[in-house]
Amino acid sequence: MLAALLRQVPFLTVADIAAFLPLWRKHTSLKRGDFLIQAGQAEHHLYFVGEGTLRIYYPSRAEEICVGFAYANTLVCSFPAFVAGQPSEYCIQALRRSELIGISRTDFSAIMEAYPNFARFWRLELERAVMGRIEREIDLLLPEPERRLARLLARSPHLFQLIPKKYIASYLRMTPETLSRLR
Amino acid sequence: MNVTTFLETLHGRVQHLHTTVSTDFAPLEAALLNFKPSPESWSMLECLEHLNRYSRYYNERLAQALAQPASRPSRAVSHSWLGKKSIATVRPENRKKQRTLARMNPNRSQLGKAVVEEFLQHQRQLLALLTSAKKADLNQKAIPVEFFRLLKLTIGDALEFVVAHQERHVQQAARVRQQLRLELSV
Repeated sequence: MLAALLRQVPFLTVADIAAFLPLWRKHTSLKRGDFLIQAGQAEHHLYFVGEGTLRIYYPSRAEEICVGFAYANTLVCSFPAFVAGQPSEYCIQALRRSELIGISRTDFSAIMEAYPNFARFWRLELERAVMGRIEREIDLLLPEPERRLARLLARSPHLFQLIPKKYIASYLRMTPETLSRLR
Repeated sequence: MNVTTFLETLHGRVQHLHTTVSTDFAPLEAALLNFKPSPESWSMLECLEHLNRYSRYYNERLAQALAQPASRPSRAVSHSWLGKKSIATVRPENRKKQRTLARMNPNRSQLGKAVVEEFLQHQRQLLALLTSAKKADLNQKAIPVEFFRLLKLTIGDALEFVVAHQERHVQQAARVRQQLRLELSV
């Protein structure tokens, strides 16, 4: 699947993709409830979700706050851990049986250096991710729960098909009751 | 509604379905067409296969009903209660999930790109049927409902039902298509 998706990227050549795919050496199967990354862990892999659903959450003392999700076709990592080698502050947990493949930071950096097309690919992915983060930051500044919900519905309608409501409620910083009242 | 307007509208909608599927779906490789966002949801090919199963039945019944031109073709189309109900259930604006009959549910079947070709074939056949429908009595109750054959739809209702149902699942497939790209979650 990763190969098929990369072949859709117009500027990646067959040679680029052939060099990239063998580097995804780590295969991870998670059962529901298993952790891909625990808080405090330094995890130096970037993962591709082949199938399954995961939540990214920040474990505060009072509650587990959802900050993001990963599902089929998502590239996911604990960003501070992958980029800066710091221990992860948040957890990534499977919400259902999930299959992932991973590439190490070392292999990933090496291919970015050697293949400029991948550097471009990664830059575009990062730009999109930052845009997504800014959208989310605006969400969180809005005091009205219905506006936060409306923005998420417009941006990522598919989440509502894939993710249990209680995690979406947590992501939107509202109670599950408020979410079901608004929907 | 006036028959000409009715048939021309349907003709345009079927042409639109044909264009969407041939330009947006047909060029994709099989791995992408088989992508399932979750184990219970349908892939693009499963959406189209579901529609093919309906077309195999309804196109044939429609062809039979339209084989002979009517002695008095209808000038206005009127909907029966059953027709209105059936169309309202399947139209894409109705976002309520509907149960599918087991034999119409292609979930987890092995499907190849031939499914897309078959779908396009059905659309061309349907366009031809819409042309012959100009000479028919569209208000004649002639099409037995697939899952309960004692009930009959009028030819006009059956045509609109097939088109609305196809729009529903082609839109569903288009939503799956939007997930066919990498997304970085950090």
